[in-house]
Amino acid sequence: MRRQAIWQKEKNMTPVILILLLLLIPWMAGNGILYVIDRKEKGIRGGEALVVGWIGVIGAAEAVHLCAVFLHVSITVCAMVFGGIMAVVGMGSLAVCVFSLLRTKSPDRRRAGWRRTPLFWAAAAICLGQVLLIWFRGEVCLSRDMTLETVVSFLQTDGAYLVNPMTGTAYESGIPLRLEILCLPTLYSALCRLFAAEPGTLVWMVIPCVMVVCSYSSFYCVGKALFPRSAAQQDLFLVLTAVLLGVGSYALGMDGFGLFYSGWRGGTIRNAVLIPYLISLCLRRRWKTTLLCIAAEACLVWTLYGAGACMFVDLGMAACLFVWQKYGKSAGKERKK
Amino acid sequence: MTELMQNAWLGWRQFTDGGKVAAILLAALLYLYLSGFWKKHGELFLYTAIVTVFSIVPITAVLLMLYQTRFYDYEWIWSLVPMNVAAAWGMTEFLGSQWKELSLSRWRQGAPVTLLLLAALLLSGGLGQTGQERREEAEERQQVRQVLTQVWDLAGQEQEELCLWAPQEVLKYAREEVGDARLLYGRNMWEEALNAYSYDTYSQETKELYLWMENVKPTGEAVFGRGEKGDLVLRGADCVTAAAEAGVNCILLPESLKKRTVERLSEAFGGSVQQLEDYYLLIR
Repeated sequence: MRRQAIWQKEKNMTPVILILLLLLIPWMAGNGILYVIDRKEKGIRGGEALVVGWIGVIGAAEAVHLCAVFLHVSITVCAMVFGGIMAVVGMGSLAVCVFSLLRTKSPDRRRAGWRRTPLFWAAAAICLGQVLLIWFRGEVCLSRDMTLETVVSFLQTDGAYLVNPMTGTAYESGIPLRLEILCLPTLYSALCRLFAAEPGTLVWMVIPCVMVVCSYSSFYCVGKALFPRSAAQQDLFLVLTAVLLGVGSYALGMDGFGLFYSGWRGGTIRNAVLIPYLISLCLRRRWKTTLLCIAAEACLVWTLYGAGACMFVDLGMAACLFVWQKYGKSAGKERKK
Repeated sequence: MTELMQNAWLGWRQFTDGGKVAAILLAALLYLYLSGFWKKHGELFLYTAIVTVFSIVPITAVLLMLYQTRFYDYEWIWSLVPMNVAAAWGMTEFLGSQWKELSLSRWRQGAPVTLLLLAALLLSGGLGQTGQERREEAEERQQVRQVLTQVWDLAGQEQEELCLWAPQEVLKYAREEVGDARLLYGRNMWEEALNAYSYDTYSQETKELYLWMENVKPTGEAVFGRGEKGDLVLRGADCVTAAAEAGVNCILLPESLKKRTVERLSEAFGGSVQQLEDYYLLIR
């Protein structure tokens, strides 16, 4: 058949395998990155490694995307380069994971990280339920979004922005540079090429499912930063976040809505994954690592020349910490005296 | 600036129409303040409180809207507010104090409070309001898929490359569904916000073709406009000819048109007519 309709649903296991790979490889890569940038904490990291790994994926995608846009490298070549980067980083990180695991000598200490309260498993069950809801309900919000059309155009023309995704015809006046540099269409196109996945399934189902897990990982980091000494409170925080995301999915702009109905968008990834992780970093005073979030946002979302929400939150938290340390705590001490 | 102020004012009302999670956030902040728990992470409390107030007050909301660039609407300034983090933090502290360090021995006090809190949370959400709309959209998409399959099967045999002109409900999904589809105009014709993604604009003639096509389904008429003095009048034959000149080789017309009218239009288009389930297909 000359014209192959792309909507024909895949009846194989590719999407499920893809979800597992998009969780496993970034998680391994994240462990590798954290091993390099944060040597204070030893051993294998769970949620944080997944978020950092995805920031790494965004970085690699941005590199190949810029090659596609400015050097006119084809999407097929970009996909191969991206796949190569991920394979090398993933394998290297696997070695780091094994090394870290072996260095954690005490078996009790090794197991301690995996012991959780029943509340944690309740949050995990809600998370799984939400993933299944995205998977089986298949409802999406496309207001102000043309990601899928863009990915389909990239795959059809084997190049970045060669045709207008809205009409399929060549651009007459071009597109804004601030939009052109955003990497998500190339990332999704590369994944479609690498795994022979159907674009609709990848963009509307696979990525949102992965992002739900990434979002919970970010909120888990926040819980650990807010309640460093109480595992029960960390897990309760996660359960309440899960409920809030669910009941807050009623309007555009709400994190829950973005996560469940448009999890592939840059704005959603920023709001549900990057900003919570950034807040956890601010609470832990890891200011240098916050630069990763700011850079990742600039690759995902149309910002004020790189000054996006992450930078605002970062500077806002730093300013509030300064004010709080200078005036708030001293005022509290004086009152005690 | 006036427009931005209006957006900020109306945006807040729309933002709180569907659900009241913003109210949960304010309640959580109030609880954290009154209980003194806010001092544990003063910087997070201060930041959240300040940015929440800034997002609600229209004048400061405008400043935030300018920071996030005019590309985004009002609701996106709430990205700057860690709403879920602060609300969940407040609720965790509240439940922690009711259960006394989350010990099950305090269930007589903790369980009813927890249930009440969960009920309040559920009542604050817009349960299923937008779900219905999206279900309808999913059904519409499914129907359009079937139409497009038929079009590509029939017209694809005659034409190497298809350039389609059809009603909005079909064109809306065409580029998502068929990678090599070329369209006379896309979703950005009626979703003006999408024009921010490109410097390309549509000519007046193309906009008139859109007006004509969208008038056909509800009226069943091939003429747009009443022909009164100064009114825009668009005749079907002229429109299909203009579309052919613009490169269109495949037109879907709504079934509400009479068959004789469709045959006349097909002659003007210079092609053949085929009847589909809800549409006439003109191929050139």
